[in-house]
Amino acid sequence: MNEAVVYADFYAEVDSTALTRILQEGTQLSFIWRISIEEVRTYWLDRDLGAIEFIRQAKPDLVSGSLRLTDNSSDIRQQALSAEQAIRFLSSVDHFPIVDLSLLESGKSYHITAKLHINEGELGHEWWKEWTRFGKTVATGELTAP
Amino acid sequence: MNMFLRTLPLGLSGLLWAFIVLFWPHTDETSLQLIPWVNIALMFILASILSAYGIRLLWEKDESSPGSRLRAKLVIGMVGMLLIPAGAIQMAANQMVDKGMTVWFDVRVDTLLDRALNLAQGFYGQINQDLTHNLLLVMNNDTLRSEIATLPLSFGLLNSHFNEIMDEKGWQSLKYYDRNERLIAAVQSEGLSRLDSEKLSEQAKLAMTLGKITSETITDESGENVFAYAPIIVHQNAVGVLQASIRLPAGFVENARAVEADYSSYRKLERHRQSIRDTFTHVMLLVTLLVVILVGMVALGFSRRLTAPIGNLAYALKRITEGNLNTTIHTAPNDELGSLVHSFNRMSERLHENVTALEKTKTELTQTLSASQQRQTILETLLDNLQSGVILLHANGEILLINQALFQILDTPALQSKEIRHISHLTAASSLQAVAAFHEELLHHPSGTLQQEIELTIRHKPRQILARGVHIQGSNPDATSDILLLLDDVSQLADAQRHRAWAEVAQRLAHEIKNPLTPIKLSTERIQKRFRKQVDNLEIFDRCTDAIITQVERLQRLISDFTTLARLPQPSCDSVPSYIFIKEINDLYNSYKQLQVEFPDAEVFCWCDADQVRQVLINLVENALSSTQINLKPVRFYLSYDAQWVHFHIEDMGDGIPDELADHIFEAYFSTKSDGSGLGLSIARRIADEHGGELQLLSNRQPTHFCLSIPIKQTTMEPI
Repeated sequence: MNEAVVYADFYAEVDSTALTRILQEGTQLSFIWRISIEEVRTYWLDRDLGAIEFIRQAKPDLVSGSLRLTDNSSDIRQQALSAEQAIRFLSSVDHFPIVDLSLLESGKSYHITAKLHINEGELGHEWWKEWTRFGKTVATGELTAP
Repeated sequence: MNMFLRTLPLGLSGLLWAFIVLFWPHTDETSLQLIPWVNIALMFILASILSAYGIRLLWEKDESSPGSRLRAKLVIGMVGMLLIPAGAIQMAANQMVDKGMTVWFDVRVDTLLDRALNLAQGFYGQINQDLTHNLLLVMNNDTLRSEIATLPLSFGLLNSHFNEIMDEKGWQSLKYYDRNERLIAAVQSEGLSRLDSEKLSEQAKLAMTLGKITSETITDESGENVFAYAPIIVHQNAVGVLQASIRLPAGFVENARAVEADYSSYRKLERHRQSIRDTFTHVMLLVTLLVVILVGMVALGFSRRLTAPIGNLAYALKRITEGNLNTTIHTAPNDELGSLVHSFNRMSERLHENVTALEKTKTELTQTLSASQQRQTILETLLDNLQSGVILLHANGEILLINQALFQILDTPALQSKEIRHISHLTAASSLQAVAAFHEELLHHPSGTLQQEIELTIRHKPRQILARGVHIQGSNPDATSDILLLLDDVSQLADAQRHRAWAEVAQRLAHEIKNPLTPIKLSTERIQKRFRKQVDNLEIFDRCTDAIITQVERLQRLISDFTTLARLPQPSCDSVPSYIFIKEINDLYNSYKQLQVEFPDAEVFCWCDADQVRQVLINLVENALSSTQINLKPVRFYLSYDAQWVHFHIEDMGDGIPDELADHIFEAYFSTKSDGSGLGLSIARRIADEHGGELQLLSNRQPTHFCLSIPIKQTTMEPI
């Protein structure tokens, strides 16, 4: 573990039953995570320091009964044999590196927000889909730089 | 605009607001919601426009611009005509979609896809199971394990053994990796396609880690392969891992994957069944809204084009109604409305010409009427100030005009009590029968002109009226002529003429008779003195001479009265206390016991010549005393007064005056006494008249009552 980096764990409350059904019926699920960090300012809008976006996907193989899990941030590819396992993979992000401490000013407060958009089916890259992707905020946190 | 059309926009806007609530998109992040939001935006815009328009219609009290209501009706009508079929089509389409979905998601299709997928899964599972089972047998083969565990490895032996296994099992490849994931031995049916070794998969590592057989399906350029991994355990340690693969038949794989894709698509559609229906509904609604907006705009443009001439016409008509007749419409389309505009312009021009002519005629008529009214005013003023009574009447007797002087001349109570509209109303009074007779005679008179002097009795006084009448023929000779009657009261003129005649007679008589009377009287008295002693019959002589003297003296008195009547001076009036007349009469006739003089309780003045009034009162008292001299019946002398008059009353209870003579007692030379001249009462009345007063016989017997009325204040005497 690098102590100069801020890590965070995220877990999204999702409708497991509906997602399980989707996976069991052969439809690919993509969890698009967007982690952003902003400097908290009292008399002005918060300053956006940066954001990172990564996608976790679960693609079921109905013929073989397995699910292929991928994480494009770490290029991890796994095979799951149950939908529940796949959903845990999709909805939990453990020990995710957010920002290097060198980028933060000591004593200042920062606001960390995790947004999640769940996409059902193939993940397209049409521009209008980007506009209509209203990320749902699943977690927020405050950080004061040491 | 009636209330229905006035509230229709608000009703439609309310409907749209309800649709907005009904079609508000659900917050589902997994589906695209662009179309519902576009629909909401369109409905919001439409509802806002309709609400604003509806509120403006409700609050609008003044007349809107001409043609706007017709335009609104056209737009509403066209959009309304569109909405009804559009709604019906949408409902029918929704029903069809529902039916179609029921067919698409039929349970038989569902079952078929399940079974097809199960079939593919079973095939895959069977191959996987066979592969892992056979690999398990190979993994437990002691010969193979000893070959692997024996160092150094005998690659030739190992490959030979692998070839035997592949031939026996029919696998695609068989490889062995050591603990360090290095490829130690490999045999495959299609020969080596690459020199470097493939990276060991995660499943292989897992198999080595767990000590269990694992498997996976991998798709590459050649097709889809099932890989199984079996750890080689020597002395309870995994020294390597065997990888066996078998290629799935391309046709089967294709079918299996097609089944999988269809199943997945079908299940996805089934999950989104409701959203598909919603999407369809939203798309239909969007199309309907766009068509409604398009049709509304087209209808608005069309109605503007159609109603512009009508609006211009309405505006022009409004201006004409307000009186601006110079209004014309300059632009006109080349159709029936254009023809209407041209007709309107011609009508406006003709109307303007007619009204101008009417205004001119009105001005002329007004001037004529003004002149006529001026003449009528002059005529009425003349008539009002005319002393003659004027009556203008139709031949049928209907009175057209009557002036105030007539009422003064014909001063009877009958005229004052009712409205005079017909000549019969005027002549109904018995005292005015002579007027009726004159009118009747004039009607039948051949010359059309008549003049007569008629006598009327008004308020017990005889009046001489000069009546003149003439037929007035209008411009139309066939029409019946009107009749103009002129009545003049010539009583005073007649009296004056009569008085002048009698005065002249009196003066002549006085001159001719008075002069010889004195010599006659003196001669008779001388004869009496000279020859009285010489006559033989003294009695006859005395009687004859006395008779001559008496008659001469009577003639002298008669001449004196004549002189008085002829030379009666104009009264010299002054304000005189009426008390003195009472006192003088009382002092003068104090010896007459039958005379009762009553003094007034207040001092009242009258405007008179005291000598002349005194003469009248003495005359009246003398008459009363002489009529009661024999039986001494009482005589009353008193006065009364009001605001304008002082009335001197003389009443006696004598024999009175016979009824047939009562109307003649004020005539000259009328007397009931044998030695009277008959001029006393005539002179008394003349004195009363010249004072502006009146001498009346109020009662001719029991009592015989005379009343002399003298004005309290000075009166203006009308010249005779």
